[in-house]
Amino acid sequence: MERQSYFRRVVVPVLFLLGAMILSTLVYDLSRGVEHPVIHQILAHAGAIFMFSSIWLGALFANTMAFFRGAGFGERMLVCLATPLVWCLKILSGFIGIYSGGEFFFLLLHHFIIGCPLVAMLCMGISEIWCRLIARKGHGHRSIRIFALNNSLLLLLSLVLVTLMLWNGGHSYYYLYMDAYSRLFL
Amino acid sequence: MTVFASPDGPLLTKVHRAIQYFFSTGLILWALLICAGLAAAQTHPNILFILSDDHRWDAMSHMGHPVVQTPNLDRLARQGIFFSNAFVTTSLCSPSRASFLTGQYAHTHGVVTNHTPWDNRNVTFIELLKKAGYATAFIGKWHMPGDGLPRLRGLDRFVSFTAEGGQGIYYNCPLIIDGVATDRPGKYITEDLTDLAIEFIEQKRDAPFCLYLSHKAVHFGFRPPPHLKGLYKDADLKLPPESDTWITFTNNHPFVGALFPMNALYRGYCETVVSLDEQIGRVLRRLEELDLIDDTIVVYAGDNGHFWGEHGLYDKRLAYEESIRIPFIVRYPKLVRDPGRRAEQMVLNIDLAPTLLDLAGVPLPNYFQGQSLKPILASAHSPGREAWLYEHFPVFPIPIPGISAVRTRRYKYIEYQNNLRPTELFDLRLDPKEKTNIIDTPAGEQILENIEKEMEHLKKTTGYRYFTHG
Repeated sequence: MERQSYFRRVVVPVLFLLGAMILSTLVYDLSRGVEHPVIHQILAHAGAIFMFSSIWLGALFANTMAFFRGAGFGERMLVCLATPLVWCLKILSGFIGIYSGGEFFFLLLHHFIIGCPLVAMLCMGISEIWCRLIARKGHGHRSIRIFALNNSLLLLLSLVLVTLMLWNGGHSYYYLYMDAYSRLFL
Repeated sequence: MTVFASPDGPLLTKVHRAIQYFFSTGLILWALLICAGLAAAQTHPNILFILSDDHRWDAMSHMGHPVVQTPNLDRLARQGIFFSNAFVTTSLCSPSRASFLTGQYAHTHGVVTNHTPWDNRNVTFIELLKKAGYATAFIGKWHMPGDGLPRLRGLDRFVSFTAEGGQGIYYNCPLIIDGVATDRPGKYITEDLTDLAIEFIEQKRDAPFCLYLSHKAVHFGFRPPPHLKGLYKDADLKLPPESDTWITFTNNHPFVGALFPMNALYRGYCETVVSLDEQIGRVLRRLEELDLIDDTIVVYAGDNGHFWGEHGLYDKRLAYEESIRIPFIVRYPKLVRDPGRRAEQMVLNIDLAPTLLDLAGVPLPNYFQGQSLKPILASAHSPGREAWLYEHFPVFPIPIPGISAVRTRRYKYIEYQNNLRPTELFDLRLDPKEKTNIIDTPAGEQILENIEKEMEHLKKTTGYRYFTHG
């Protein structure tokens, strides 16, 4: 595959996903000010769906984009993590001034904070499979292995961690997390 | 003898006898009155306090709710007093529950969030009623942190649960019955707790009873019993225009932990309210069958309100009306002469304990921070409070700062921890939905100084202190 410029293979996919997140968030937030009920609902639904897709599932698309523009594995990880990390920073900024420094750092283990990049990694791992399949069969790159070590490890690790976090509807992890919080901070 | 034989003698005798008769009759009457008074004072009514979870003050059909039908709560309101301006001093389960029990603000009883433990030194109204001779029971949700269930004094029966951090679960929720862990397979929790409550009411006893029946319903999970599932699946929910079904996923609401579309949750909520109403009806009917209903003070309340899309919000905690208002109904025909009245006075969760003790003729301890509602129950013209303090402390990991607010009859002033959000002032008469912050307007500036002074005054008189942890 042709290795395109850093801007095209890394920055563009990142900006694409970030732009989608920012735009959809704006649409969603603006929908609340729209008095017409039908337009309000259309904007709210459209904004929300694109917002969640860009944050949680965007790596499926961004990784594919970066892959076929010749981005390396590390670069693709960066592409996939950028938007979730920006979202996490936005969320974390809402906690500044409310809790202590220790509690703030403990927040990083909250399943919405740590879960977001983990899901992005899972999505990347999944999209790697089809990217590699297409590259092998469609583009004739027979040297590309569908289950390479780095991708397999990424897929396995993220799958296990996401499953653990979602086990019992997420309750088990949540109560474990809160129990640890109580022991550490109360 | 001559004297008595004198012409005046018989007259004097008659006067003497009349005086004697008057005094002796008076003495008897006086004695009877004293006895009657004492008897009245010593007649302790039964007490049934039913507490629900997250039940909004307007989610009842008698409040004109467009979806839910609550005939039993409607009846309770019709036969008693519905307090249309009832509030919680902290809109969160554990602090509010502790306030109901102790008659104190959260900063006094110490359960400031859902993470701060109950202090076993706290005195509950149940304990004081036990000392006054009541048979007592606590049945249902405790949900205050600590090492398992607390050592509550003065309880003859203590039934609760610790599953899911004390929140309980709607189906098959294991109970701890007088210290014994008991599986409840096949049971729906609201019905199960009601069965146990009825069992307690039915017990033969000489003493009056005080039953604290505290439901899990209608907290998140919002799972109705099988026969009510889907009752409102096609109902027009008529949620506020600024709401949408994605609210639960946005604006930091995921930290509350209700990751389902809000409209679906709301349907479950409405169905669960109906189930709660059904079970309340069962208890009331049993009281009637046992001919106890008019000798029993029945109080129904919620532990806090709930946003369903108003202000683009879900959950509670904030100081807006939807969050801080609660349903509060008192039925006691022996005192209430005008059943069906809607009392406009502002009443609080911390008023429950002094009210019940007052109605039971038990002296009120001086550490209560609430007021007895007995005068308001007796007379529509009894004055209520002019202003009160609302408080909220940060609850990890929810990104809502600490809040202090003053709610007067007309205005609400809200301050946030470290000014993390703009201070707010609302004119509730002109803007009941709290859409326009008037703090920087000429009208707002006129009120600001007085309301800030009111807040300082309330903080001082209640011994307010801020808790950073929780």
